Amino acid sequence: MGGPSCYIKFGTIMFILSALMLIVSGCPQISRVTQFTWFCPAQVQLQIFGFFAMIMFGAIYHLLPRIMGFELPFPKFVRAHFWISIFGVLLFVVPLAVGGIEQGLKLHDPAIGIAGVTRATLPFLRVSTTGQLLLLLGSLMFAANIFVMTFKWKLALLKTAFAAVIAPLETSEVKS
Amino acid sequence: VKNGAAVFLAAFIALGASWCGFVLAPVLQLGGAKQAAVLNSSDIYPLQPVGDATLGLQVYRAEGCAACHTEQVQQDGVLCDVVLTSPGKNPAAVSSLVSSLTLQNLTKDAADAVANQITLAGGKSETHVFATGTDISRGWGVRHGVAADFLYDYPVQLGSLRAGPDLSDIGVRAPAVNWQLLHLYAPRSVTKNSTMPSFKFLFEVRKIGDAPSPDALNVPKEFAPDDGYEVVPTPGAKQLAAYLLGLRANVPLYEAPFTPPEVPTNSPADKK
Repeated sequence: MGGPSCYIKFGTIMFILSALMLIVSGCPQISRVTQFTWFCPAQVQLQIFGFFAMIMFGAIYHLLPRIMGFELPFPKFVRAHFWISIFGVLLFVVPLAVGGIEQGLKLHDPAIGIAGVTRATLPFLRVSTTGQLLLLLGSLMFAANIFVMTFKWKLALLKTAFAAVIAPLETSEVKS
Repeated sequence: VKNGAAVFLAAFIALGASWCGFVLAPVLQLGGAKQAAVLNSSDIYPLQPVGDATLGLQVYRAEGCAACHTEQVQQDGVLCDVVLTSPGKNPAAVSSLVSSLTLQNLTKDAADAVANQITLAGGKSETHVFATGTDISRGWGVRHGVAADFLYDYPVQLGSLRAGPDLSDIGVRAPAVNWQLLHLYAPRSVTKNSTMPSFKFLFEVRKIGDAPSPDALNVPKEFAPDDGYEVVPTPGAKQLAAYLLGLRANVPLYEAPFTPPEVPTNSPADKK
């Protein structure tokens, strides 16, 4: 569990979820509550980090070793990155969406001042930030894999080029 | 590619249709918008912002104010109050009729019916229209936002998140430039519970020279810099404050009618 194909599966599920969120927030009765709240950023972030980024991670982890011709330098990071991303995305988006709904309900009560409404969302935003930090950690793992790999690949290219330069000439090419 | 032309045509039609819906239709509808006439008045709305207010929009944009503030008020609908202005020749009959009727929070049709009854009894009445909705009860405006509010704004700063209050008529709610500047410098010095970040970098804290600067803010002690220093707004802060003071979506328009409480307040004499 946790290979590149898992990224694609998770990304697809998140795409369906974010599309459902978009459809739901398009219904007038529901958008009365969710509009102008953190629910909309939650939907956008789910689409970006849950769907697009996950599919891209999966594709890159799958394609890169095949293009460059050798294995990833830290294969264990692929699995770790997957689980960190799942928890990161869920921790990032779920509190935002729930906090958004609560914010929307409170915005509809004129007795609660706007400062009170915003303060009520702060705990949700803090949890959400934890999720963002997890995503950052996962992205650092991804970057480590990609940068080390690119460096190795360039080094290999250089070595090949250097070897070709210093190789002794074939006798057939030497002018007599 | 097999069927390349068909794929191209299908994509062209799909994208073209959405372009027509999202770009062409709005431009045809509102592209030629001009200043609108204020209802029951010779005024026009909106007045073209001048000087600092024009530049202030760019400061508003640069500081990302629209990330947390909207400039669009929503309303659920309108209700009417019928107000008796003259009892006419038969005051006793009219007053007994009026006391038997509901005069407040009526729909338009009900208000018309009530007004009709009063007229038949010989009295005279006025119908006052007012907008209803959560935003209105929060005091964020007197009517819903309309396209005319943004006539001179480019780019339009609608906003999509309310981490802070709506600003469509902040110039009416807080018409003092000093309040605006102080709120930008230290939000919690004027609204206690505010979560707004401080925009201190729009101000210069400097040593008082021979005489204090005429622009210097009167900052409460808790938020003030050390003795001998003063807080002076930079041009950016002044422009932003001028822009905010210019946000005055409080006049009745054809597409958003209501009865203003007194004479329209958009006259230049009322601008502070």
